[in-house]
Amino acid sequence: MARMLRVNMDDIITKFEEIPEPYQGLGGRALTSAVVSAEVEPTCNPIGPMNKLVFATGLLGGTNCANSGRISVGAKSPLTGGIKESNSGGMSGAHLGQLDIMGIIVEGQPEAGKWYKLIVKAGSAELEPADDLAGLGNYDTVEKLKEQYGEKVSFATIGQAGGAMLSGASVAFSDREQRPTRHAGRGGMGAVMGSKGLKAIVIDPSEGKRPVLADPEAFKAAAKQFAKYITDHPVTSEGLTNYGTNVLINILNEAGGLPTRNFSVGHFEGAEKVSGETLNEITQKRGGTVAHGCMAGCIIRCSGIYVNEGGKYVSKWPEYETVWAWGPNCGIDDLDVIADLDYMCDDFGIDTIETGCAMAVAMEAGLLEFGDGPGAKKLLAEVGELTPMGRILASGTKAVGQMFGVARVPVVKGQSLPAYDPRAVKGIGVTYATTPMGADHTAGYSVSANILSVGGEVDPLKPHGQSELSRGLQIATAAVDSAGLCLFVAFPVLDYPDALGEVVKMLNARFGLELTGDDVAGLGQKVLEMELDFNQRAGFNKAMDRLPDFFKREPLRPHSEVFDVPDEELDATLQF
Amino acid sequence: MQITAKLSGPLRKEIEGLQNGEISFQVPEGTMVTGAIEALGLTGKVRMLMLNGKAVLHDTELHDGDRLALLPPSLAFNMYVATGFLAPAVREDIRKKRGEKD
Repeated sequence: MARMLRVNMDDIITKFEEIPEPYQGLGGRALTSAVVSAEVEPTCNPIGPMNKLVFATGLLGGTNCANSGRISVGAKSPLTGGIKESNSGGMSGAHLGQLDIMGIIVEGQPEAGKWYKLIVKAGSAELEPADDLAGLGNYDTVEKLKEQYGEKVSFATIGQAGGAMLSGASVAFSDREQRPTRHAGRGGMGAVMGSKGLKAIVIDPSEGKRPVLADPEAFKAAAKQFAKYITDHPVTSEGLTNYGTNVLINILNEAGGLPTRNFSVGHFEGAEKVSGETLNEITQKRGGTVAHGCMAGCIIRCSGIYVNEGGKYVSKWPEYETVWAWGPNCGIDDLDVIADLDYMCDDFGIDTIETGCAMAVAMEAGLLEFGDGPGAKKLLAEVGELTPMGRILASGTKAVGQMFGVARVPVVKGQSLPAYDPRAVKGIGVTYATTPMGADHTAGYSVSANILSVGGEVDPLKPHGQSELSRGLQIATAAVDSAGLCLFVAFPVLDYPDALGEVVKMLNARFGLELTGDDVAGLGQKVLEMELDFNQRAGFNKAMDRLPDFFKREPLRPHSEVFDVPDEELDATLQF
Repeated sequence: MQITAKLSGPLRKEIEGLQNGEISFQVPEGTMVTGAIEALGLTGKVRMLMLNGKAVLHDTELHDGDRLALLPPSLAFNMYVATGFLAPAVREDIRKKRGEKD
């Protein structure tokens, strides 16, 4: 029987409980947002005792469904001041599912300076002192935990940035090799974990079992068919597998939508050097790994292992957004430097998008030159040392802009924009502006346009139709995030009209329901409504659903476009 | 006249002599996009394309100095449904699928 785990950091006690009625039938983002919305005072300080940190596995978590092991982390965000769900791969989502734990709610706050780790097993959940881990980076933290808990467990940890409660801090989830490489990066969830005095969660699935299925045969059949759609589709079986998400560098560069040197131009002259094609070539030449799944049950395998010239591990394959943030956006055209920066971000526990954008703003401020890779590494190292400059950098793009008097700061609701310039890709600009999450590409981009019958032929350079497109994508994405599925399953779901039906069949067979595709879309809308309501109660208004004004004023080369979707359309995007 | 094509991912294995995934070559005046793809021997292997960074139809006429970006099915990301860079044939496929579904 699925359970929730409550972790009270005031009294250092844990308690399993039945899933309360309002949370029944929810998973992933739907569950984290429902808990935050119902239990967190929207005006509270995000790193104070009144905030709650919620971990949730998806509705299909722990099952045999392919690519269903994502984990959601939710809280009031210290970066945006609004509700946040940050989503990650790694092993913990499936492990929680195997323990039949839908969610963990961490509440309260211990005595300042005390650190704890939470050990979750099939029959128990214990808080133990973790003062020996205080101040360590994620890699050292995980090494120590491995010595004690072995190789069959997974970890959720924070590094120095989370320990210092800085707004760009992430929560790291260990991958199949127990490396802390998969992160709930966006929105400062690591800072909230740090504020709870929680350095690590150790999840031991050894005595767990897979969730009980209402109709095992029906589930098995649907899961098999769903997996076939993924392995049949060229993007999820070849493109992402061989080149990773970083294949987008050349595509966006050709489209003139690759933000370069702090969003000043849409084309980077060094793009080929940091592209997915080059990443593949270097990796093969040096004996690294191409086609590596970040979580068990992944059959897309869009990650890889990046090694140095001597064949030694440097980092996992940096994602497209990471390569972009530290590469074109900082004017750096060297994958070795970018892989080092990726490792450092993973170790310190900071969001690569937020921190890369913060570095670009620091470059615009004149702290270092665009393209200065060694300088970027030196400055980033200060995050690990928690110097005053390191703390500013790890507090995010907006903080750096404020500290150094920069006007061109690419943030919405305090969160930095990802790797698609909204002047060249206007539909994503609408999502950046309107999602309750702050600027976030995953909130409404990858999911198929035709699930919700929104237009599939919207010109990226025209303002019209973008609002409807963004709305449909945001609803669909919220539903996918709630199922615990990797967003990339959207590729087969678009091209094979029956693929979504297999997901619905699996949900029904898992829980004994009779959902339809419309119900799944309905869940997505319900999630957005909860999130928008929270933000409104936190003081958000329409004026915050806007892109920074320079996107309206400064034409982006090479297409010389500005962001010109009318404000009324932005306001109508999420009016249900 | 001379045009340049930037090839993505596995398309690079189809042609020798690429520099950074690019090739510049001569085509006669009046050549259409389809003709350029044919000249490269890539007919049937391109699912998505851009001409000078914008979506175009296959029967668009090329001009001296034009730049094509060509992507195979394995890199034809759905996001281009959203961003409009899908090759026309694929748009038509999707239209048909929708029609059948409706």
